[in-house]
Amino acid sequence: MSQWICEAPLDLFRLLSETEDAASGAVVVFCGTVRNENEGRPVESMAYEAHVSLAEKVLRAIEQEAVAKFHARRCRIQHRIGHLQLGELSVAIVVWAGHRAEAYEASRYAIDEVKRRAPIWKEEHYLDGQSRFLDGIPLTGSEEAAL
Amino acid sequence: MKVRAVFYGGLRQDTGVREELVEVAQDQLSVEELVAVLTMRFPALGSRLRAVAFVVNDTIVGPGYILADGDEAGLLPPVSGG
Repeated sequence: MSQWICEAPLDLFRLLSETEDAASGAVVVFCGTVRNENEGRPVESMAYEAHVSLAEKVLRAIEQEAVAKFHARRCRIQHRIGHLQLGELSVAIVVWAGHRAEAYEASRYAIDEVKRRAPIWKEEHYLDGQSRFLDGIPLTGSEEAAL
Repeated sequence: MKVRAVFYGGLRQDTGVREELVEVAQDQLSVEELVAVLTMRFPALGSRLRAVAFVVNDTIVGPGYILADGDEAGLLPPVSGG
């Protein structure tokens, strides 16, 4: 399993313990989960696919940026791929910082950048048996850049 | 020379294949030329290719990038992770 892209269910508590930081006074955890509907259409499950090696590079860059831009102390991002059931974690972001303001800001930055830059796609599977890839954000070529 | 085009996300549904081997007589091929070949083989890609990014060796490259024999070019449609 990669540090950034995982086929197995995300282990939030392991991610927290791996990043534990005694000099931090705040830790913010953000998780994305599979919701049971989208735009009024009942969702049964979600399939995630990634260009794994580029996604790893991009997620690592976003972690570094989140720390540097907001003076956070640690940031780790993990994204799941494969077929996920309702309620499962699709992405987990852990940010440790001296104080809550930096931790919240860095966490928000990280998830916004993941959605904008990570080469990952989701395909919704609906209760009626149909499925479709969601419309997304075009990559521009600056995705890999850190700082 | 041969290059391999690999389709991601909804592009796989548009083409019906996961990847396509492109063999040309010339000894170099730009991304732009690869796009022209793929558009002929997969008309369904059509206008979608305008919003597609190309990745070679984990770097996103522009239309003028010259592919080498044996390269793999990933076609990345607009992203929707999170």
